[in-house]
Order: sequence, then structure tokens, then C-alpha cells
Amino acid sequence: MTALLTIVPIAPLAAAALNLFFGDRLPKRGAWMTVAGTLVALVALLLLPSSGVAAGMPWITLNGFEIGVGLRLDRLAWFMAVLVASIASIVNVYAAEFMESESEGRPRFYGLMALFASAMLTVVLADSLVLLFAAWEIMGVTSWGLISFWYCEEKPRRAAQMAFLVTRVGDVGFLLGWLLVLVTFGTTSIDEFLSATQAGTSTPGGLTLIALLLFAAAIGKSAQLPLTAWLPEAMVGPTPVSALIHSATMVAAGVYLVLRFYPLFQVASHALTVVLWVGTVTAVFAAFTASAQMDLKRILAWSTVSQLGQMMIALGLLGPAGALLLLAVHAVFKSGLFLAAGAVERAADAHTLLEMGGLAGSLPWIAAPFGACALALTGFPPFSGFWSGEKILAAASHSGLGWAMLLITLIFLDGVYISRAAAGVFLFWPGHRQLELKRIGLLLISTTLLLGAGALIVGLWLKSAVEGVAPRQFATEPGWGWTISAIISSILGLTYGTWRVLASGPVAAFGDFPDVLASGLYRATTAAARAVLAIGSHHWPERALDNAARGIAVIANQAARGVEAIETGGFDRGAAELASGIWKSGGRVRLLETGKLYIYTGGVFAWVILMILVFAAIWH
Amino acid sequence: MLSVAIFAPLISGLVVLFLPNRRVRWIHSIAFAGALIALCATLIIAFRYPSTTGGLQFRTTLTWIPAINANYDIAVDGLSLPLILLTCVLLGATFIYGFGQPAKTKGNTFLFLLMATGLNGLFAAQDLLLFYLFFEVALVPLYFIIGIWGHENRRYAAMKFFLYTRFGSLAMLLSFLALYLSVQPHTFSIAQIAAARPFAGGGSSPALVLLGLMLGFGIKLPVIPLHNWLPDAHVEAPTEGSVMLAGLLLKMGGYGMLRIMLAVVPEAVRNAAWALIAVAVVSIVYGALAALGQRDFKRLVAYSSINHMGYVLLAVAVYAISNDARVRELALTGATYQMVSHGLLTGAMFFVTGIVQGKTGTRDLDRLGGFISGAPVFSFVLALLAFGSLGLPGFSGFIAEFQVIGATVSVSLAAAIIAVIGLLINTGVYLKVLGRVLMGSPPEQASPLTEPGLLPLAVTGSLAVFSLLLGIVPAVLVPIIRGAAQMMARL
Repeated sequence: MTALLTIVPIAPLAAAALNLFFGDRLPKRGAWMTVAGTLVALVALLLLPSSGVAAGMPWITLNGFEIGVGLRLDRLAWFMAVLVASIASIVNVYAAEFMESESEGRPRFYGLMALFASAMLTVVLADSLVLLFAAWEIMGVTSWGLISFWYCEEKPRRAAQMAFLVTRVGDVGFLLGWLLVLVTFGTTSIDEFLSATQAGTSTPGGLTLIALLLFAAAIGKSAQLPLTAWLPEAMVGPTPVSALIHSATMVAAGVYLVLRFYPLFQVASHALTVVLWVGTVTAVFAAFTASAQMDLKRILAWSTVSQLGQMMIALGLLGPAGALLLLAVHAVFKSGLFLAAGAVERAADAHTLLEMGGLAGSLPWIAAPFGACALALTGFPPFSGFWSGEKILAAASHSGLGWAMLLITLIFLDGVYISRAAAGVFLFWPGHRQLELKRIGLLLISTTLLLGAGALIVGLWLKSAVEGVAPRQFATEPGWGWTISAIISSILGLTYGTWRVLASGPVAAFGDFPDVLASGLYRATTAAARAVLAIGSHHWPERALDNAARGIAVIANQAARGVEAIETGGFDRGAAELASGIWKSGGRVRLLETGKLYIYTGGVFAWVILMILVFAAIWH
Repeated sequence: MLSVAIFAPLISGLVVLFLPNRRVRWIHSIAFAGALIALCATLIIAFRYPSTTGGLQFRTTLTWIPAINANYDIAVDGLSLPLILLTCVLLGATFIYGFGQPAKTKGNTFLFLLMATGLNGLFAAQDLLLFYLFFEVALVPLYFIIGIWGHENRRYAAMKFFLYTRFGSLAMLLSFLALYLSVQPHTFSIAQIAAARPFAGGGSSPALVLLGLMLGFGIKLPVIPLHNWLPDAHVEAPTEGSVMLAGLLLKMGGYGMLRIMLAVVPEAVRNAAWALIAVAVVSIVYGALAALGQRDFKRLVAYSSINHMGYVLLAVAVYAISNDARVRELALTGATYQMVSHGLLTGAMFFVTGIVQGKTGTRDLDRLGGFISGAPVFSFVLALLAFGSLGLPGFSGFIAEFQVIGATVSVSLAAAIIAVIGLLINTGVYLKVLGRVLMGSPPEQASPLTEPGLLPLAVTGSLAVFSLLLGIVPAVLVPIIRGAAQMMARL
């Protein structure tokens, strides 16, 4: 069993190594190797019991600390790992065809995709804070490498740098957090740490600090405010990357991290309040922004940010089951939306809504899954999102009227932006372009259809699975009134969004102000980076030090000449020489560059004599 | 056995001096043999080193200058053994790299071997005067290497390097003399001075002794604001000289702090610990910031060394201030690990700058680009080194940095936060390197970019693999360091 558990992350890792080193000699440049790696992981997971298996070993043994690495399967980890491995397998099959037209770099692409799967599975299964952190950072590297896949162009390069740096801002919080756990609790084991927090011996302040530091990592990876700007930019990467890493799995790892440490957050309730408010502001902000975007993938990216915000809201409202269920169904329908977007991109060679329109007739097998996923997103029954919406509404209505109203509003906004996207791409609106379409292959269509079907049907099944998995949630069902309000809200949103497009084309649904805010956020993020760069580019401290050192050397040199003069020509001349020498030294700074050894040696000796005198004075 | 490791390079260097300059192959082989013998001797020591008991082993004590009670007293423990190993590995690496380069004169080769003897001797010396002697022996060759075989502005840089480090080493010598005079009977033995605790009381003299030591070791490490010699020396030094300078000579400062400063004036270090923490975090942040602002690839790596070595001083200060033996041990292990890790990664990074300059004729980051398409294997190695240098888990740097920052967290969260800000900026530095060197389009030149030869790839690649090995399986090095760290932490 232990061996089987270690196979889960190692199989994709082996696939990654094979692709990176021998990818050019593998069939399809390693595409099937990556699929095989993730499938092996999935099969291994399905063979394993859903809890009670662990594998670990000491890693660094110091006198006082035992730092270990290990994997541990509990029901939450098993559920999440199966989800990740399934989505990764499907997206990698899609990528095998999607990336086929690339002449160069495919082994790198498939290798990094497999490495990502390995790192993500390790994050999910890790029982050790240090291993979790390590895999967390390696996910960031794969994200960097995949966003910058088209490295010759400027935009992907910048987007990749931004993604890595912005997420690392959160990651260093994580680093401090787990180091704090190490030095206060003396352990890196997550289980030991969590049970120590329940013992009631540690101060609430310290626990809140640790929880907030861990949450910093979640903010970065899940693109919550203020570390949001990188995710929309990351859309310049290849679409399978957007589907797998930047919507379904890696960005959801932040939510998973809070779930993993939920017992800690329950004790440190102030931290949970922070989670709630960060999620709220992000969800609303991102939903509005999504309604104003023109680029299809950017709409989906902002939608992801908003949905992740809703998961954070659910966590903050003591609804972990709702958060986990939304995470799971979101992974299915959002990767479905991205695969459909990628297929459209390949068929129409277009990226923005203004270039598209009326594609439903020519691409029915893409339009149908897109529609199914869009309905799932707005929580329309019986699509999968409905069931997660119910769970979150239950928690919200339990916490207060305001929170339930917030969620109803968010459902309306979800409906507006996603129906605007769907109508803009697939429906006939006034003035849309006639496009010449290229044929798209069977793998693209079949994987998209698979995820579309998933968005339709997996909701109930996942709901029952989640109920046995997530930390206990107090309220499970909202009242009838809330359910009906949610459905009405989603219908209103869908109608409004569709009507806007049909009436006046894909313009911003609520005006341009959200886009202005979003580009302000982007500018603020880049300005922060540029400010640091500007500080670093000031070379005056270095020059000042340079000049100071030269000045000292020149003065010492002149002093040496003075001393020399005393020796040879009596004190008076010597003193005069010394004074005039020091006086002139400012002008003689350049003398140092002449490189005359005796001058320097003289300077050094003068300094030594001075120091000996000082020492002698102190001694007596 | 330890003396073999110290003097094998010197002996092969002397043999080289008697060969005619045209016998290139002979010179190379004998020099390499010297490095190899030293490496083998060190490996034997490492395998026979009893890591469970720890402490000073393989001790040789001979009378050297009886009149002043100075002895040839050498031994190794967990702090010095990793650094001696590093010296032998990097010396071998520079020679392997040199096989593929235009032939060097025997004088050049001799100087590298002499420097290695100085370094190994310094890391093994248990006597202050012997330490000082080896300090100078390691220092002087580099002056000539920079001054004779360096780039355009070499004489200026060599002079600056020499003056700064001379200044430091003389200040250090004064402190050594003060220590010598303060113990009855007068002795240079580190252990005896440490046991006598001559400066345990208050007053200004312990502070002065500490100041002298800090000048000597701080210039070498280097710390802000004593670092000004470093960028110039690196930029003007030939590639192999930079590798030795960054990889090993900086460690003389860090090692001196751990071995001598903490042993002989622990109370003074403790009193000054907050000031040292401030200097350390300023070095960490400032080094990274200054690196970020550079256009010259080599200068960038030089400044980022200041960032990396700042962790060593931070660990020293945290060690001195903490009362928790576990934290002290964590700090010491981290500092030693950082020195080894930085030697591997930055040593390799300086090889990379040399290769890049050789391929394109420039080190200007704004003009470089496109290595991925022309030289994918080399690009992969450079990416590994860059991610190692920015502290990615899986590489040795991460092991070192998390231990030092972990120890710091337990003392002061604020200092740790400033340190991780430096870590973040350093991330930007190496992402910039990757973005500028690997991505984009190649510089306009007659011949397209190709892979460097097998030897440079083997050298940089193997150093990257060493760093990965130490990052994934820290158990190969930690037990050796741990013994020494435990013994010191209990003091």
C-alpha cells in the first residue's frame, strides 16, 4: 500500500524526466508519456483505500528537530488527488492534439505538464509542511515555464515573471509560517501540528499569526486580492495550461490549503474572518471585471478568480463542505470552458469576442459543452454548480441575511458574464464577423464533450462524496426560499447577459469601470516591481562607497608622505607636507587609478602604524 | 592525511614550476593530479570521519615557532570538512574547465594550486597564527591572477581587492595579537583561548577585538558596507579566478566567524548581536537590490553573492543571541550549508558567465538572449542553477536558507521578514537572468548560438547536480556538520 501511495506522485515525475531528457525520441514528443504518467497515478489512487495509508521518512535529523517528509492519505486528500489526476489526464489528452502544430519545445511542454501533475499531487498528499512547501514552489516553477512557453515573445516572458514573483510574495509568508510551526511546535508533520493546535496550550495570537501566514500563500496561488494581477496575464500561455493549472487545479490549491488546515483556522477565528473578507472583495471585484473583458480566456480567468473568492467566502462562513464541492465542480466545468475556448481558438484563430460570433451552427459539439459548463457555473439546476451553490447558501443563510444576499448577487453576476461570453462566441449578434473555420480534431472535441457531460451530471455524485470527506459543516441545506431565489437570480443574470449581446454586441455588461479598476490593479502590481527595480538601479550608494574608500586611501597615502618627510627633513616641513597633502587629497582621488604599488603600500603601512598606536594607547 | 590534502596542491604546483611552459599537457596533468590527490585525501577523511562523536579529528600538532608558542596545529570537524571538500571540488572543476580553454602559463596554474593550499590550510588550522599565515597565502595569488590575467581594468580591481583584504587581515591580526597577549601563558591555540575566555568581562577591549575580527572577516564575506571591492574584483577577474573568489575565498570570512569569532569572544558577539543582525539583513536586502539593478551579468552574480553570504552573518548573530540549543544548532548547520551551497551554485554561475561571454562576446544582459533555441542543454543547466540560487526547494540553497531563516524566526520575526524580502528580490534577480539570457531572440552576430563544449557543460552540470543532491538528500552532509554544530551549540 505504501509503495502504491508513493507511485502516485512518482509516476508523473518519471514521465516528466523522460520527456525532458528523451522527449524528442518519444512518440508524439512525449504527449502520451504525460498522459500515461497521470493515468498511472489515477489508477494507483483508485486502487488505494480512501484513508489510512501513510509513507514517510526522516529527512533532516538535527539534535532538536526532526524534519520529515511523507505522504498521507485521508479522505480529503484522496478525493482531491482523484480529482486532480482525472482532470490532468483529460487535459493532457486534449493537449496531445492541441500542441501538435508546435514545431519546437513540445517535449519541454509535456515534461512540465507532467512535472506539474507530480507537484500538485504531492501538495495534496503531503503530510509534511516542508514537503508541501517544496511541491508548492515547484508548481510555481512549472507554471512559470509553461506561461513562457512561447519564450521568444515579450508578453509571455513578462507574464511568467509576474506570475512567479507575485505568487512567491505569498509563498514567503508560507515559508515563515511553517518555520514558525517548526520552532514553536518542533515538528513539520501536519497531523501532529493540527492536533497540537487543538490541545489548547498555544496562544490564540500565535495560532492566528501562523494561520495568516499560511493564508498568504493561498492568496498568492489562488490569485485573491491584492495578489490577483498575475492570473489574467497568465492566459498568454497555451490553453491546456490555462485549463489545467490556471483554473482547475493549481489556483485551487490555495483553497485546498485552507481546507487542509481548517482545524487551525477554526481555532484562529480572526484568521477565518480575514479569509471571508478577502474572498468577498475578490469575488465581487472579479465578477464585475469578467463582465467587461473582451478576450474570451481573460473572461474565464476573471471568472476563476471570482469563483475562488466564492470558495473563500464559503470557508469563511464555516461551510468547508460547500467550498470543497465548489472546488470540485468548478474544476470540471471551468476546465471544460477552457477546453472549449481552446477549440474555438484553434478553429476560428480568434481570441476576442469581437472577432467571433455565430459559431453555434458550425461548432455544435463545442457549443453544447460550453453551454453545459456555463449553466453549471451559474448554478442552474440540475447542473453540477447548483449543488455546490446550495451548500454554500446553506452556510451563508445560517450566518446572516447579508451573506446570503451577497451570494445571490454573485450568482446573478456569474450569469451575466458567462452568458455574455457564450452569446458573444456562439450566437448571432448584430455586426458579427463571418469566420472561415479550420477543422478541429477528434481529441479536442471528445475531451471537451466529456467535461461538458461531467458538468451536467457529476454534481449529485460529488455532493454525496464531499459529505463524507470535508470537515463537518454545520448547516447543509438552505431554505426553499433561498433555493428559488438563487435559481431566479441565475435566470435573470443569464437573460440580461444574453440580451445585452443580442441587442448591442459584446460590449461591457455594466460599463467599463470594472476594467478600469482591473487595469489599475495591474498597473499597481507592475509599478511595485518597477519601483524595486528602480531602487536597485540607483548606483549612488556604490559610488559613494567607492569614493569614500578612495578618499581614505589618498589621505593615508598623504599621511605616509608626511611621515616620510618628517623622517627625512625635520618636523616642520613634514607637518606642512601632511597638511597640504590632506588638503589636496580631494583632487588626487584619481591618483588611485594609476596603480602605483608603492603608493598603496605606503598607505597601508601608515594605517598599520596608526592602528598600533591606537592599540598601544588602549593597552596602557 | 589532512596534511596531504593541504599540501598536495602546493607540491604539484612546485613541480609545475619546473616544467617548461610549452609542456601544456604535462602542466595540466600534474596540476589536476594535485587537485585529485587532495580530493581523494579529503574524501578518505570524510568517509572515516566519525560523525556520531563529532569534534576535532585527524589532528596533527607540531611545534612551529617555539619562542612565541605558535604551533602547526591542524584538525578537521564538521565545520571545516565540508569546506575543504568544496575547495578540492572547485579546484578540480576549474582545471577541467581550463582543459577546454586556451593554454595557461605554468605561473597561472601554480597560483591556483597555491591558493588551494592556503584555503585548505586555513580551514584546518587550529592556531591563530597559522590561520593568519594561510589567510595570506590564499589571498596573494588572487591578486596576481586578477592583476595579470584579468580583463581591461584589471590592475585597478586587483589593487582594490588587495588593499581592502589587506586592511581586513591586518585588523584581524591585531585582534589575534590582543588575544595572544591576553591569555597566560601566551598562546595562539584557538581551543585554549576559547577555554580561557579572556574577554568575558565588559569594557571596551572585547568590543575592539570583535571589531578587528569583524573587519577581517566582514570584508572577506563581504558585508555591507565593506563589500565595495567585490564587484570590481569579480568583473575584472578571469572566469576561473571569479569561481575561486566567490566559491571559496568568501568562505574564509564566514568560516572565520564561525570558528574563531564565536569561539573566542562569544560574549562580545552576543552584546553586538542586534547590530550584526541589522548588518546581515541590510546585506541580504541590499545585495539583492544592487544585483537587480545590474546590466552586467557577472556584476549581477557578484552582488547576489552579498545577498547569499548575508545569511551566514545572520546565522552567526542569531546563534550568539539565542538561548535555545536547538535554535543555535539550526543556525550553525544552516550557515555551513549555505557556504557549501553558495560555493557550488555561484561557482557554477561564474562558469556560466564565462561561457556566455565566450559565446557572445558580451555580458550585457540587455544584449543577450535566445539561448534556449541555440543551446537547450546549456539553458537547462543555467535554469537549474538560477532556480537553485533563488532558493527553490530541491536545491542545496533552500536547505541552508530555511535553516537560517527558521533560526531567525525564533529570535525575531521582523528580521526574518526583512530577510525573506531579500529572498523575494533575489527571486526577481534570477528570473531576470533567465528572461534575458534564455528567452527572447539571440544577439545579432555572425555565428548562431550553439552548445558550449562537453567540458564546460560537464563542469557546470555536475556542480548543479551536486547542489540538487545536497538539496534532495541533505543526509549526505548534515550528519557531518551536526556533530560540530552540537558541540558548539552547547558552549
